[in-house]
Amino acid sequence: MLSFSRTVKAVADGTLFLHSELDRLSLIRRKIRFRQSRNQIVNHVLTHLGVLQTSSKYVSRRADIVGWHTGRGTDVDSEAANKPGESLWSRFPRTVRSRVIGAMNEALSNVKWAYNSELLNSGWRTYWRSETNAVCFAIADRGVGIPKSLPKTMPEIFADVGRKIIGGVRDAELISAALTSNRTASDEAHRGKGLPEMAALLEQWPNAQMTIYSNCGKVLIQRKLGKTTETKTNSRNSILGTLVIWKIETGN
Amino acid sequence: MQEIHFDNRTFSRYPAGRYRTDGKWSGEKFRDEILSHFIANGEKTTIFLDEAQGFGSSFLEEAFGGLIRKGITFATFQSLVSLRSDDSSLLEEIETYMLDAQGE
Repeated sequence: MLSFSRTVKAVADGTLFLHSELDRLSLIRRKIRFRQSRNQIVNHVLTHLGVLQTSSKYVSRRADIVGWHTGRGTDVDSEAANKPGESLWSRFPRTVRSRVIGAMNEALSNVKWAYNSELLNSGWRTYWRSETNAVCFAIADRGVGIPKSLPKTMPEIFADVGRKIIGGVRDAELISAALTSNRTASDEAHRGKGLPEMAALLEQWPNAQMTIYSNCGKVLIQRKLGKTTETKTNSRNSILGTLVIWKIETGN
Repeated sequence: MQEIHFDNRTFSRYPAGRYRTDGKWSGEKFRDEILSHFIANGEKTTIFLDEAQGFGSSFLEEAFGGLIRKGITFATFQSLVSLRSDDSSLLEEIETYMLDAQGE
């Protein structure tokens, strides 16, 4: 039994990650029972995501809660990841839409580094949502996290950041370093463009942001009126995976 | 003149991933099963890129940069293959991958 009885607020980022975890659990354990929140808005949000889909009480949907279109898979399957967001694509010019899907494809490619074995591979979940003047899309996985995959994917970044940080390597600093790197130390120098490409997508708009949560680290890249800033935060507890969310102010 | 379309008949509208092990419509698969054949036969070919929903750098680098690593020179590619897209930055990106691969 999973109880939401004490949940009073559903923040989008955390709710998506919760959904990805529940979705993963549902593959292992068919029936998960839930106790609803006392807060009706929380119940409606969870209903939108399908968490409380068995509850008929919340089937009628509130207009002020915008639903997410979701996709899931294990391979780099662009169609499974992106097609759920098809109804929102008209909000982007054709060439920009291609870049959006390209960034999502790179995020999918990165997920393969997130799992140490195929047995543990619970894949990825993607989310697309329309907001007033904005489009949000996200990808979540329950793998080892970007900081822990760096020794394999970008060993020089891992070593370099580790040397600079007094008091131990911190996840947000590692994620940030990986975002700005354009190469790996592997003998295949052409690899390792995925994370920077995901961040570079923001440059297509004057106002946009990307938030990466991975293990204990959070990196928020914000672009406002064409100026980009980065904020790094480390928390005590790990989310045990990765969630990347883009929010693009499309102006339509 | 041969034509390559990123549609579901020739390849996929959703190309993604670098290697075959990544997924069904990878850059490696496109290079080895589609592009290489036209070049090996010396056929003049036009690739219509805009029918694809989008490309990631992994796909493009492996498909086009990988072609150079497989022994095709950029000059040979240019003499046989014409790339078509309304997005000039996409064409520049592909050229960069090929020139970088030539310099590796």
